[in-house]
Amino acid sequence: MAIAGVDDAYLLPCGQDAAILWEHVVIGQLDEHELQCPHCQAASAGFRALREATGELTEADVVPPRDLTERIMRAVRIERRRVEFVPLAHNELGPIRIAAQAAAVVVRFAADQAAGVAARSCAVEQVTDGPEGWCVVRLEVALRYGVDGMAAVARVRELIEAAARELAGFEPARIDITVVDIWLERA
Amino acid sequence: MNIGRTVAETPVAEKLAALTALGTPGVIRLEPSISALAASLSRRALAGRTGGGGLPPTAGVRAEITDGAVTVEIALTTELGRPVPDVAADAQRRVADALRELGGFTVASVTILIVDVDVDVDRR
Repeated sequence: MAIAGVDDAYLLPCGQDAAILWEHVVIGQLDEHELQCPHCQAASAGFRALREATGELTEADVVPPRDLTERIMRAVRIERRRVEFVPLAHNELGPIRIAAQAAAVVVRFAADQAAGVAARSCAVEQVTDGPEGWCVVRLEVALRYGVDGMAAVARVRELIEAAARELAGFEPARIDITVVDIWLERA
Repeated sequence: MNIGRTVAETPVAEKLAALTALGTPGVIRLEPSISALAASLSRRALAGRTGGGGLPPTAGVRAEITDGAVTVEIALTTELGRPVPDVAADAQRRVADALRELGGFTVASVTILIVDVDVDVDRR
């Protein structure tokens, strides 16, 4: 998702930068954390497979696809999202799930529709003991200088509730909004 | 002559599922895992194909045939602004129908995983 401030760094769920892990895989020297962390282990296994595959492409003198780098980095970024899913439905054909981070993209998009509001980081998490599809939303926003903060946040809450139910498909059991910054609009 | 058996294999199910899912309104693309992407690239290298045409469209779909019934899992990105549950359920139904009607498969399940929501650059 090409929204500024989101996923600019390819961080694994443990916080490790995927680019650094890739370098360590290339030189064959994983650090202590990377050797013990299941996220780093899973990613490094994928990186090794990718490295072998791209090596075969080179040896086979095959022209790589034009969008290869983009596809690889996209797969790395998406890999982070395969860790945590929110169940949306389970019909006779099988389950439908949305990655928690994909649900967060919808929430951010909704919050950005409020006048004078810029969504920052967002997390959506299935309620541990709640019904399937009930989630806690944690959102950080910045407000434009001069905007009525309470009214803006109330509007954001309305937009999130509607988007969660109608666009993303989950029930927002709780919405925590933190105002983290004020920005000044330049004339 | 009407003797013999007809068998459709796993790659057929994967291709039917991939093409059908991609044809569903609101589905932007399929999303392969790193390992699936690597496997796809390896197959491509071993087959000695030239580039330029992109990767096979089935990366992002996993199919398994057990006891004559196919189980499919599809990871995809939907278009921002469209209701995710509706798009996903539509893709799920279309894929199941295609597997039955075009491939002759018995469908055990079709799992849909939405891993991203994005703007459709082709429609901007």
